[in-house]
Amino acid sequence: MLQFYVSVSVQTQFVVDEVSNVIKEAVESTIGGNTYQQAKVNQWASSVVESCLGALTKLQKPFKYIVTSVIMQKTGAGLHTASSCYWDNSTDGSCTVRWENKTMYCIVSVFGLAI
Amino acid sequence: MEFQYVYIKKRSEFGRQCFFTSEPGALSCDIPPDPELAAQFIHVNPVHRGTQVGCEMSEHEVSTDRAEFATTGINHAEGGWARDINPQDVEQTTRFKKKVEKDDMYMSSVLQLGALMEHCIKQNNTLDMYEEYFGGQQDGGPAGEGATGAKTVNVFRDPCPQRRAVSSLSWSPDATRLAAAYTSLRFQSSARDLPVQSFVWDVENPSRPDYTLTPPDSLVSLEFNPKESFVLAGGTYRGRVCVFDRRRGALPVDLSPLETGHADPVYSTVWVNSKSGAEIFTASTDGMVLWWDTRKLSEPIESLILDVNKTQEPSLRAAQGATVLEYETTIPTKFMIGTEQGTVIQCNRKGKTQTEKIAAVYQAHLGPVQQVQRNPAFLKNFITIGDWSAKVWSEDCKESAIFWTNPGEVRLTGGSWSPSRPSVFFTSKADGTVDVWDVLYQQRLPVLTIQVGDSPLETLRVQEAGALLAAGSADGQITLLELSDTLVNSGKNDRLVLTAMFERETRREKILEGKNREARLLKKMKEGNSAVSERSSTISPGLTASARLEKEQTEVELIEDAQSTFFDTVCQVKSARRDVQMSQMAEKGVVADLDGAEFQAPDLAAADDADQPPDAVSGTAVPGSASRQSATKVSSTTGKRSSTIAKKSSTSAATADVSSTAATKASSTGAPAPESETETTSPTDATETETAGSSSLVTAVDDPAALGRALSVAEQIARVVDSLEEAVDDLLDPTSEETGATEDQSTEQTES
Repeated sequence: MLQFYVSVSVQTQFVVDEVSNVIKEAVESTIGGNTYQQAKVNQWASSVVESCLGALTKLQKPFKYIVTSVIMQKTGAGLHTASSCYWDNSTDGSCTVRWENKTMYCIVSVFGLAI
Repeated sequence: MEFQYVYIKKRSEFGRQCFFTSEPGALSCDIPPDPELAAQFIHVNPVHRGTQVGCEMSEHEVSTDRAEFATTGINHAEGGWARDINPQDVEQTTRFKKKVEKDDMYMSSVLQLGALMEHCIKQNNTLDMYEEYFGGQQDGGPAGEGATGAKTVNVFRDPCPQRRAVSSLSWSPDATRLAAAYTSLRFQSSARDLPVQSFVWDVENPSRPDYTLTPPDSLVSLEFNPKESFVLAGGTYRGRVCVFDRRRGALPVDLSPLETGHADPVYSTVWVNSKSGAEIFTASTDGMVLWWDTRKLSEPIESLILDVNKTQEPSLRAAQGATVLEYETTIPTKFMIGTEQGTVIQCNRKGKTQTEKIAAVYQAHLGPVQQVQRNPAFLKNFITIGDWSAKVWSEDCKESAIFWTNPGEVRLTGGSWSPSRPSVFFTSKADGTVDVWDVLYQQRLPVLTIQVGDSPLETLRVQEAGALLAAGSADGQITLLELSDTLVNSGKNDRLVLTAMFERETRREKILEGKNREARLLKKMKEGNSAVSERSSTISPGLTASARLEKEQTEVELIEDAQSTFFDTVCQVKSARRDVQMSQMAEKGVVADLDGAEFQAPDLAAADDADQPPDAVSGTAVPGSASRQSATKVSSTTGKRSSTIAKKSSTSAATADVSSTAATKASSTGAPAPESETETTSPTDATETETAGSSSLVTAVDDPAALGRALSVAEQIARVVDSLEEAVDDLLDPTSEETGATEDQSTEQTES
């Protein structure tokens, strides 16, 4: 089968590390240092997502982004998530960041799809 | 949040073929469960959450509307008009009336109603429903209606760190101040260096005293000058008298020297109603009453030694110690003294000699008199308080009080009449209570008992208006009580009733006094005539000792006579019974002596068998003499049971001659010996026993030597017979016969 090697510039590539840093910063700035509070969790979750997205778009990359975040209280339960994708592997990518403090976990997933 | 991103894409790249590859499922997050964390949380079930379906308001007020109601009566003067008629309009009313009168039912209804109306009107006329029944009377029961009580208004505490007892209280004439003398009255109390100050308190302010008095040594008695409220006179522990003037500071203005004063603490200081207004007199337990001029306290102006013995020279040694003085300003020359010995001495100041001065002596109490006070309304009557009771006296009755309270369990320490109610008086007790007595209500118990404190109360003073009462205690605390109105205000009739009561009691005492005097005179006379006659009159006080003895003797004799007659009759009865039994035994006599009886007994038994129930006899068919005897006895018992009294009597009557013959032969003693066996025989066998008895009697005569022995035996047998008869009654079934038999057997064996 024909294989086309398309040169993809760095600019149009999903860089996992960069995105990961961005996410970490966003989460840290939103809920870093807080203890789990049931009344505020909803607000935290949406603000995490929003700040992530905001930071990602500032990267000025031609990507479609999908950001999901899960905040779970540390009560001894287990949490397992998985994802599967059907995309163009060379241009698209995903990144999952798992952040935790003493009382809660925060898992943020970012899927970036090249335009 | 709006994101905007302008991106640039190369035209060549438009529509670029997308090379899809499937990304296998990747685990993006894997957090294993941690049970340790679960331990930090507790399951809250159920969870309580309050809900309220109601609007939350910041401010909300609920209040019902106020409606004023008034209850009035209505006087129905006019009414019953139809609605369209205006009652004011005369024309309308007259028209209406005319119309109604033409009505058919008018006449009958008017008659009917008229009857009812007439009844009501008559009722109204006879009774005045609104009449006031007890309009004129006021509240005034015996102790007044309404709550009787006293409440503590103020408590004044000794500000000095060492508590001293309150020994005396005095109200100022304007009733705003209370003077209190503090001292330690315990004999040779250890702390003789106690602070000497006494205080004058403002009644309204219990926190600190109004002003302080500093005498040379502690004051025992203290008194305001009734005319000038700035001046106070006091007597000290060492016997000195001092005068204080408030305007001139705390130290006494004048002080009597130790030599001319009293030798003991000055227990009482009283202002005299004199022209100069500067005279006091003091009393002490050294037996002296001294009068002083307050302007010059260097020496007393007059003195009186309380020697009540009617000797020429009053001696201090025989004098009685005074503890309290009484002085009524309306009677300026007379005064009374209560002494340590328990007497009350009424004195006249104007007397020239000792006997004139001492007008009367009343033996009041068993211990020191704590207080003497005249009744403010009835000056002839005074109260004395001492030992355990309070006594009310009349001046006329010198022997005893006209009435007194029951001796209580606690010592009384002070008291006072109520200045406003002549029938009420107060007493203070050593257990810290104040009793309020009302003599018109009841004399046995106080009307009110107020527990003022725990420590004993030393003194009590009522303020002149009668509403405030100050009580001083042994730990330096003065309690001010306010009495309820019922105790303060007297009723209209109180005075009259009280007068009547006092007169009645006085009269009673006088009569008793008279009777006592008569009795004593009579006794004296009797003792004088005792040599002449001993049988004195029947008046019990006149009975001499010897006559009384005689009376007693006769009583003793009587008792003895009665006793002897009783015993005689008993013995007679007993002996009569015994004789009857002897005669009974004589009828059954067979054998000469005990040995012979054994042989005879079986024959008798055989004779008995015919009459006795076969089972009883068969039961007793046992070989051996003893058993035979028992058998016969048993049979006899059964025989006795079955036999009637008539039989016995008949046999006894039949053998009466036998017994008589036996008696004549002087073998009555011998007869009992065989009688021991004869008794076992059946009484039914009259004839056989008769003959047997006679034969036995004949043979018995042969042995007179055995008389004495037989005598005692006979008596024992008599007793046995009695017991047998009892046993007969107890034996109810044949089975117990043998046991009864064994009993009898044992008794007989002991005898024989």
